[in-house]
Amino acid sequence: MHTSLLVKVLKSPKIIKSFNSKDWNLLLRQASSANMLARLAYTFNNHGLMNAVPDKILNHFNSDQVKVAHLHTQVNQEVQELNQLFNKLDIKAIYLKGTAYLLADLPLAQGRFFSDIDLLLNQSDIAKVEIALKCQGWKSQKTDDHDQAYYRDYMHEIPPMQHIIRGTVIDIHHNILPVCNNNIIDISLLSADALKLNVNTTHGNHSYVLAPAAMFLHSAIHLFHEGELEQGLRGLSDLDLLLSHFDESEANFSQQLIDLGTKINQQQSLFYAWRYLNRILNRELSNTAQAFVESYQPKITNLTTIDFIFTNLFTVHHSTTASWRFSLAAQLAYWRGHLLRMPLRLLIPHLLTKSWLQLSGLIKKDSVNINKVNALDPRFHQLDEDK
Amino acid sequence: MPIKKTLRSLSTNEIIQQLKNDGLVLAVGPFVFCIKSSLSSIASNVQKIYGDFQLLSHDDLIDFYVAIKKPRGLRSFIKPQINFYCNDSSPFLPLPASQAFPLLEWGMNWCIAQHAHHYLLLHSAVLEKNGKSVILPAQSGSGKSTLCALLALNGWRLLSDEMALIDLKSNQLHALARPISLKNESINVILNQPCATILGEVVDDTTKGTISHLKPSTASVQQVAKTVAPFAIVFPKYQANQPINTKTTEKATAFMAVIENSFNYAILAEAGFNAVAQLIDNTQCHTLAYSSTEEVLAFFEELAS
Repeated sequence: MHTSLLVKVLKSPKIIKSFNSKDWNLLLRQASSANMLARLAYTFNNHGLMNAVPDKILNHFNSDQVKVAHLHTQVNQEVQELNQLFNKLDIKAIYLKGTAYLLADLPLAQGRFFSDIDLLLNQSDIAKVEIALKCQGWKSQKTDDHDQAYYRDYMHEIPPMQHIIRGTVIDIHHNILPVCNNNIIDISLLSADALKLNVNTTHGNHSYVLAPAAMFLHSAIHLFHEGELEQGLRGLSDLDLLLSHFDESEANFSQQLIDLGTKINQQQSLFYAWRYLNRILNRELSNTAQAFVESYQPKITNLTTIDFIFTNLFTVHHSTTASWRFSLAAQLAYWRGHLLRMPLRLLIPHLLTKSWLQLSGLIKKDSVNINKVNALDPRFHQLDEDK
Repeated sequence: MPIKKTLRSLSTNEIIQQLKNDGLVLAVGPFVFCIKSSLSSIASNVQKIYGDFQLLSHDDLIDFYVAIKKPRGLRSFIKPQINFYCNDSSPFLPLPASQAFPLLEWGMNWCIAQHAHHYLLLHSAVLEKNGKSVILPAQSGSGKSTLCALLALNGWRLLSDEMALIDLKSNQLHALARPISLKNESINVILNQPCATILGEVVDDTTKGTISHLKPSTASVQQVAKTVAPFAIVFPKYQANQPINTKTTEKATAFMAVIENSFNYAILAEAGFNAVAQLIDNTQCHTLAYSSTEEVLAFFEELAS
C-alpha cells in the first residue's frame, strides 16, 4: 500500500522540491481524485513553490483553477437573484459552507469546488421561500413520497431544489443536524452573531454568513457527523484553512470556539477537529486548544475505534491507497454516520422501506448512474458540466 | 537528437502485456496517456492504429490514466459490458463489450475536453497544407469526419479529426493526429479511395451507427509537435447531388458559430472571448456546401495555394 502522498504534501508542501516524475504522477492522480487540485495550486502559490511545479502538471492546476473561477461566477449570479428574493419576502437568510466562504471572501474559497448553494432559514419562513423559488423555476429533486416524508419529518433540511434550466442546486436547512437526532442544536445560539453581507441593494439587506466561531464549528460538526467521507480530507483541509485564518483575525479564537461549543453542547466535534488536525495535518494547536484536547473526556466508550475510522479515512480514496483497513473504516464510518443522524428505532424502518422500494422497482436502483452520461452523446461535455 | 521510440517497436505480446499490467504509455500530441486494458480488441486496435505514436514510460509525466475494464460479476458472462475509467472514476454508462475501442477513443476525447483548459477547445477537424491551416467546425452528421479523412488522404496533414486545440497564450493550433472516426456510409466512401487506407475494427450497432477508425498517416503523426497559426475556418455541409457552393461568412456570424462548437468557451470566460475574437480576426471564414469529392478537394487546394 502507498501512503497518501497528498497528505504528506499537505503537511509539508516543500517536499515537492525533490519530486521526480513518478511522484508528480501519483500526486496528480490523488489530488484530482480528492477534488483538491486547485486547492493544492493555491497552497503551492502561498508557499512560493510554483517554480517547483513542472509545466505539464501546472496545466492541470490551471485548468482546475479556471473551472473553480467559472463555478464561483455562476454562484455569485445565483446569489444575486436569491438576495433579491429574500429582500422582497423580508426574510433573513444565512449562507453556509462553500457559498459562505466565497461570499465572506475567505482564503479557503480560492480553489474550492462545491456542488450546492447551502442556506439556513428560520423554519417558519421555509414554506414561503419554497413557493417563491418554485415560481422562479426551482423544483424539488426528490419526487417520491417516502423521500419527501423522510426529509420533512426527520431531517434538518427540505429536499434539495434544482433550477430547471441552469441546473444549480439549493439546499435549504432549518438546522445543521437532523431534527430526529438525540442531540438537537439550538440553532438560534449558532446564528445569533451572524454577519451581514456587503450587498448593495435598495431593499435592505437580508443576507448573512455565520460568525467565525459558528462557521468553524458548523464545518466541524458537519464533518464529524458524516458517514461518507470520500471528500473527508478536503473537509479537514477546510478546517485547517479556516483555523489559520480566524486564529489570526480573531481575538482568542480558541476560547471563542470552546465557549460556543459548550453552549450548543458540541464540544466533542471541536475535540475531534483539533485532534485530527493535529494528528493528520500536523497542525500546531494554541495553548488553549491544546489544554482543551488534553483534558476533554469524549462521551464515547471507545476512542480507539474513532481514531481507527478517521486516521484511515482522512486520506485519498483512490486505488493507489486502497487497503483492508480503509475498507473497514469506511464501513464503520457509514454505520456511525447513519446512527448519528437517526436513532435505530427510525433508521431500521427507513432502510427497510428504502430496500423494499428498490426491490419492487419503484425507485431507480442504480441511482449512482443518474449523473453518468452516454459516451456517444455529442453534448457529453455540457451535460457533465451541469453536475 | 535521440531517436524517438514508437509503439511499432513493441511485439504484439509486449503490447498485450503492457496494456494488461502497468499500462501502455503513449504521447498523444501534447498529452501523455497511460492506457490499461486486458481486452484483446483494445490490444489489436491500438497496435493497428497507434503504431506511429511515440512510446513513453512510467518515468515520464503522465496526464491521463485511462482504462477499459469489464465490470465484475455474473453480468460478464451473459451479455458482457465494458466501462471507461479516467483516474479510477467512470464518467459514462457502460457499453456492450464489442464497442471497447470506440469507447476508448471517446473516453480519451472526454479527458481532453474536461481537463485541458489551457486551450480554447473547439469541436472541429483541423488540417494543414503548405503552412496554411483550416478549421472545420461542424455538428455531428455534417460530413466533417468524411471530409477530414478525404483531405488527410490527399496530401493534407491531419492535426485533429475531433478537436481543435488553440493555445491561449500563443494562439497557435496544436495537433493530436488521433485516428479519424468514420460512421456508416463514410466508411465505404473512404475504403473506395484510390490510396491505401488502414481501418480499425468495424463496430456495428453503436448509437451512432456503424463505426470504424482510420489510422492517421505516419507523416501526420511524426509532425505532431509542429504548431501552426489558424488560417481559415470553413463550416462544411454535405448536400447530396448539389454543385459546390461556398460563401464568405460574416465575422459576427462566424464568431457565434465558433462559440456554439466550443467545449469550454463558457468556462474560459474572458480568456475564451479574447481567444475567439483573435481567431476570427486572424482567419478567413467560409461556409461550404458540397457533394462531389473532386470539387471539394479543388476548393481546399486553392485555399492552400
